[in-house]
Amino acid sequence: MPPRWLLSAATSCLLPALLLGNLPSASAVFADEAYKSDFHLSLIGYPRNPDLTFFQAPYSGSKGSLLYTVTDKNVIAAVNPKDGSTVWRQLLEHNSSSPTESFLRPGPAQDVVVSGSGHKVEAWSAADGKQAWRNDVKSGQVRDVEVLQIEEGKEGAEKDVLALVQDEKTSILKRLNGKTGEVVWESLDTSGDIPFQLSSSLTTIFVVSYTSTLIGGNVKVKVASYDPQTGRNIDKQTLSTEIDISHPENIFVGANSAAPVIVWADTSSKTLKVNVLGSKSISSFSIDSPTGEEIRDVSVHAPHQPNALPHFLVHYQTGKTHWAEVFHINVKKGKVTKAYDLPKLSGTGAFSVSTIDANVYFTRVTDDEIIIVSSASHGILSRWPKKPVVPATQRLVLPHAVQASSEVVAKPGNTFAVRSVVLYSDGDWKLVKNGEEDWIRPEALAYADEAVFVDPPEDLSLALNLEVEGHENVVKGFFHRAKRHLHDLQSLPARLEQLPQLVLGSFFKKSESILVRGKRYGFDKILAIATTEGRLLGLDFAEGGKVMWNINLKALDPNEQWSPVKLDTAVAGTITVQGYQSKKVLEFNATTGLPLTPEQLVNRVAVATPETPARLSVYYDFSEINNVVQGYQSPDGIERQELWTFQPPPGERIIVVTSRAAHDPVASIGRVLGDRRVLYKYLNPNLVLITSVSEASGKATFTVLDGVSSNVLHTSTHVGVDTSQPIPAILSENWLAYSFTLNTSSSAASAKGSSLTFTEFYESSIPDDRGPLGASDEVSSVGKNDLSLPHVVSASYLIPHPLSYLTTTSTLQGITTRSLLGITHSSDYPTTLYSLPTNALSARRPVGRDPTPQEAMEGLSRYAPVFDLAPPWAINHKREIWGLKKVISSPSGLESTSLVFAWGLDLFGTVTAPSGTFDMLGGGFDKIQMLITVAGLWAGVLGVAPFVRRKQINTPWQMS
Amino acid sequence: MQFFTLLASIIPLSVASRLAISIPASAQIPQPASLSSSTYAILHSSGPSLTAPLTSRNTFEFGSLEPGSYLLSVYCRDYAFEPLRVDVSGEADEETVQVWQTFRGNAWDNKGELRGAGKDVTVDIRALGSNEYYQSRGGFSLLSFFKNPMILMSLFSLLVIGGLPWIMNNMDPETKAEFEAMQKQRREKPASSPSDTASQIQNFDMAGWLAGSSKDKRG
Repeated sequence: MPPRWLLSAATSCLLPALLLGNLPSASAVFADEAYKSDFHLSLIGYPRNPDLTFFQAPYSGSKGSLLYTVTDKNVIAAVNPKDGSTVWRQLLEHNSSSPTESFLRPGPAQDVVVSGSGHKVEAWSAADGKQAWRNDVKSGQVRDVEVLQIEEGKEGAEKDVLALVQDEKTSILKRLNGKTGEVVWESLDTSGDIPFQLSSSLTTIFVVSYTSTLIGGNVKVKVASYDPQTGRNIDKQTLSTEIDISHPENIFVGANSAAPVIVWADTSSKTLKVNVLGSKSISSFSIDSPTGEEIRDVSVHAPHQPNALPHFLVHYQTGKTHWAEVFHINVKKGKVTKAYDLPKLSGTGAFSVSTIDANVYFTRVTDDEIIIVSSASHGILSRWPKKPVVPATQRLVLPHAVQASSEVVAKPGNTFAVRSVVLYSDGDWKLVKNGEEDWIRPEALAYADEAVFVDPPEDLSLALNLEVEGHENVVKGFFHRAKRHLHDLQSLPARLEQLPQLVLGSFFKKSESILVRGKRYGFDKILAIATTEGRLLGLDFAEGGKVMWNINLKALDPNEQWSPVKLDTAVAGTITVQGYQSKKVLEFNATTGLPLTPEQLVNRVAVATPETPARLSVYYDFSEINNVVQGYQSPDGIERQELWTFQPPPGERIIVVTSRAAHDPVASIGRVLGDRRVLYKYLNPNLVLITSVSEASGKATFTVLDGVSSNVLHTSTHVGVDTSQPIPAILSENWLAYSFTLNTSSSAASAKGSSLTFTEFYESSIPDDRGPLGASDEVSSVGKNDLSLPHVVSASYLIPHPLSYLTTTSTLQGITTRSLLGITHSSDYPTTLYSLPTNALSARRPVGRDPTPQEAMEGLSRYAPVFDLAPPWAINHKREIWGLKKVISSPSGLESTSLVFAWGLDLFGTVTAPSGTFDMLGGGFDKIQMLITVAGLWAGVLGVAPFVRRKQINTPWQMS
Repeated sequence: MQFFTLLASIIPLSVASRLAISIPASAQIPQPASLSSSTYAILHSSGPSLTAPLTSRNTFEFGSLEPGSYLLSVYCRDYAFEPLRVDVSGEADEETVQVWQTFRGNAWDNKGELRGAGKDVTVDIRALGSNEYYQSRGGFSLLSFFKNPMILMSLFSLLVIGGLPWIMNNMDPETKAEFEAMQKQRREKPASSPSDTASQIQNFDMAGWLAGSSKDKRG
C-alpha cells in the first residue's frame, strides 16, 4: 500500500482528467449540500378564527400537545408549539375559485381532528395527518362541523360528528359516525333558510339559520332544535325581533357549551342582545362607549366545552381603545347577567378563552402586557409585561394583536402559566409564552403574489474617491490618496485579527450554509415580495429568507389596492412598485424598506441618466377583452403609433403572450456539432410567443412572431388539449418550450398524460451556413430579407406530471447552459420544482436510430417519447413544498450559478448550477488532502534531491 | 313543520362506484404505514383532476366517479409508483370500474393486464422503486485509480527506473561487460544525443508527447 500522500498526489493529477471525462450533465443536488444551499418557508396563512385554533395531544398518552389550526388559505396544519415548525399540513378545496369556508374541530376521539370544507367532511389522524375517513357531500357546501356532545351511557364512548350542509334551498343536518364517517341519520330542511351555524348542548342540537327580510336588508334568525338520537326536528322558532345587521357574520353563536347563546350588537353598536338558544327571551344590554368613540368591532369569546361554566366575554374595540364585559348565564332560568367589566385600555387588544375542567379563563393580549382573569371574578390571576417589540424606527406602524388562542395551565401554588398564539396585524403569527415571544411565523408571506430579486446597493465610495483623485491636480491627488490609504490602514489590525479565524475556518467550517458563503459571490440579493394583501416584504436571500422589513402599502396610499402590483428594480438597492389601477409608482430602499424621499429620487435620476441615444422601441400590448395583440411604437412616450395587430384563428382565445426576458444574454451564436462544424442559432431579440386555445375543439396554437415586422415565423397546433389545465410557455435564446395536458377523453389512439414540447430555431438547416442572411452585413426585420424564416426543429415529450409554470435559469454572461425550470401543477399535494437540462430536451435528438458518434459527442441521445422527470432534476429534493405557483431566477456573481426563488403557499429559494460549479470549489474538494499532497510532494523532492545531486556529480567523473 | 322531512337511520344508500387503491407491503416498501401524509393519488381525465390523500389504512379512496377514462398516478416523495388506467362505464349508480395496467408513452388503447373490475374495487398498486434525489460525489476508489492509463504508464516507468539497475546487477558478468561497453560507446557519441537520464527527464516535452508529435517529425 503506497503512503497516503502518494495516493493524494495521484488523485490531484487525475482531477483534470476526471473533469473532462464526466462533467455533471444535470444539476442534481449533492447529498452534502442539500438543506445548506437552499431554504424553505413552510407557511399556512392566517388562522381563520380563534375558535378553530386549538392545542390538542396528538394521541392519547402523548406528553406534549400540537397546535392545530385551519387558515383562510384553507390549509389545516399541525404546528409544533415548541419551535413553530409544521408537523403536517393538508390543503382543503384549494382549487375552487369561490371562497369556501373551512372548519376544524378537535376530533370525537382524541387521535383525530375533523375538518369540513366545500363538499367534504374529513377526519385526519392528529399525529401524522393521514386521512382517517371522509364523507363526501354530493352537492352543496359544508356550513359547519361540530362534535356531538351527548352523554351516552358509558364514559369514553366514541363521539359522533355533526355536519351542516347547504344545498341551494335545502339545508341538511347530518350525524356521522365518529369512527367511520358513515351517515347515522340525515335531516332535511326545505324551508329555504340559509343555515348558518350548528350548536349542541348536552341534550339538544340547534341549527341557527336566517332569512333576509325584504325591508332594509335586515335578517330574521331562526333556531331549530333536533333530537341527537334520531335526528327528529323538535322545534323551530323565529327570534321575536329582526336583527338589523347587514352581515350575518356579525352574529355570534356560542357552540357546544352548557348554554349556547346567540349574541349580536345592533348596527349602531348601542345595544348588545343575547338569546340563550332554546328560549324565546332576548336580553338587551346597553353598550356605553365611555368616550363616545365609535365602536369598530364587537366580538364574543365563549368556552367550547359543554362541561365548562356558562360564561362568556364580549370584546369592544374602538379606533383607539378596547375593553370587555363578562356575562354569566343562569342555565336553569335561562337568564343572562353581566358579571364584571375588564377595564378600558388604549390600543388594540385580543382576547382568548381557555378552560381547565369547568373553570373558564380569559387571556387578554394588549400592546404591552398579557393578563389572565377567571370568568368568575375580575381579579387578575397573572400578569406578564411584554418585551418591547423591535425598535420602531423601521416600522411605519407598530403591529397590534388581531386574534389570539391560548392554553392556560394551573400550577401548584395557585399560579398560572399561559401560552398564546397571537396573530399580529403585520401578518406575524407568534407564540407568546408567559409574556415572552417563543417563535414567529411570517404568515404574510403565504399570500405572496409577485416577487423580484433586487441587487444590494452598490458601494460607490471607492469609485467616487478615484474620480476625485483623477480630476484633482497631482499634488492634491497624491495627498488625497495618501489620506485614503492611511484611513484604510486603520482597519488593518482588525483584518489581521480575523486572519487566523478565516484560514482555520476555511479548513474546518463544513457546516456553514452555502448561501451565506456565497454572499461574497453575489448571493446576497434582496427578495422583494408583494402580497395579495397589499404588503411589501424584503427578504434576505443569503440568510435563508429572513424577513428584513414588512410594510403595508395600503397605509402609504389608501387610494390604491396595491394588489396586484408590478415589481421592478431600476437601480441596484431600490424597488419600484406600481399599482395596476392608478399606475401610481412608489419607490423603496431595498435594505431598509423605507420609501425613497424626493431628493433621493432626484439624485438617483441625475446619476442614472443613460447617455445612449433614444432607440425606437416597439412595444406590444395584449388585450384579453378584444382578444388581440397589438404592436406599437411610442417615440415620445405618450402617443401610440400602431404597427401591427395579431388576431388568433377564429374560435380561439389568446391566453398568454410571452417574450424573451430583459436579461437573456447569449454567449455563443452557434451550436458546435460533433465534427466541429457550426449550426448558427436564430437569435432574434424581438420574438413574441402567443398561446391561444379553443375550448370547444380542445386545440392549442402556439405562434411565434417577429415583434417588429409581425411576420409569423412559426406556428404549431396541438389537438386533444385539456384547455382547463395550465399551458405554460417560455421563450429564451433560440428556443421555446411549452407544456400542456392531453385530454384523456378524446380520441383513444393517442397517448394520455402531459406533454412538453421543446423547439429550437436555427438560421439554416445546413451547418456552417447562415442562410439567406449569410452575406449581409446588417440585418433588419423589416428590410428586404423580412421573409427569411428560421429553420425550426421541434420535439415533444410525454411527461408524468403536468407543469404549471416554466422559466429558465439565468446567469451573468449566458455561458452556462440554461436549464428549464418547471413547477408541477397540483392544488392539494406538494409541488415539485424541476430543473431540466435543455440538452436532454434537445429537439435534435435522433429519432428512430442510435446517435452517430458525432452526435454522441454533442451529447445527443436517441429520442424517446417519454421524458421521465427524474428525481435528481427536482431541485427541491426531499423538501415538500406546497402550492408553488411561480418561479424566478437571477444571475449570481458566479457565472456557473443561478439564484432561484419560487413561491405560492410556501417559499423556496435555492442556487443551481446547470453545468456544475466550474468556477467554485465544491464541497467535494478536500483542502486538507490538498495540503497533504503538496507537503508530500515537497518531502519527496527534498528526499530525492541528494541522490540526483550525487548522480550528477558522479556522471562526469565516470566518463573515463 | 310540514317543511321537514326526516330521513330515518336507514337511508337507501344508493352507493355509487367506489375505487380504492391499496399500497401493499412489498420489497420496495416494507412498511407502507411509514409513508408521509402528503402522498396522494391523482385521477385525471379532463378538467380539474380528482385527488385522494393517503388514509391511515394505506389506501387511496375515490367515491362516486363520473363515467370516463382516467389516468391514475401517485404523487409520493420517496417512491415511484406505476400508472394505472381507470375506466368507469355505465349509467348513474350502476357504474362499473375497471382498472388496467397502462404504459406511459403508448397509445391509450394499449392497456396491460386487468387489475380489477366491479362496482366496488380495491386494487393493489406496485411501487417501481425509491426516488433517489441526490447526486453522489465521485469519491476515491482504488480500482478506478489503477484503471487510469496515465497511472498505468507511470507505474510502468517506475518499474523500469527501479527495476533496471536490479536486472543489471543480477546479469552474468559477460553480458554485463558487453552492456557496459555498449553504454560507453554511446557516451562517446556527440553531445547532441543526450544520454543523461536525469536531464532527459527534465527536458521531456510532455505536451509534445501527449499531442503525439515527436522531435523527428518537427525536425
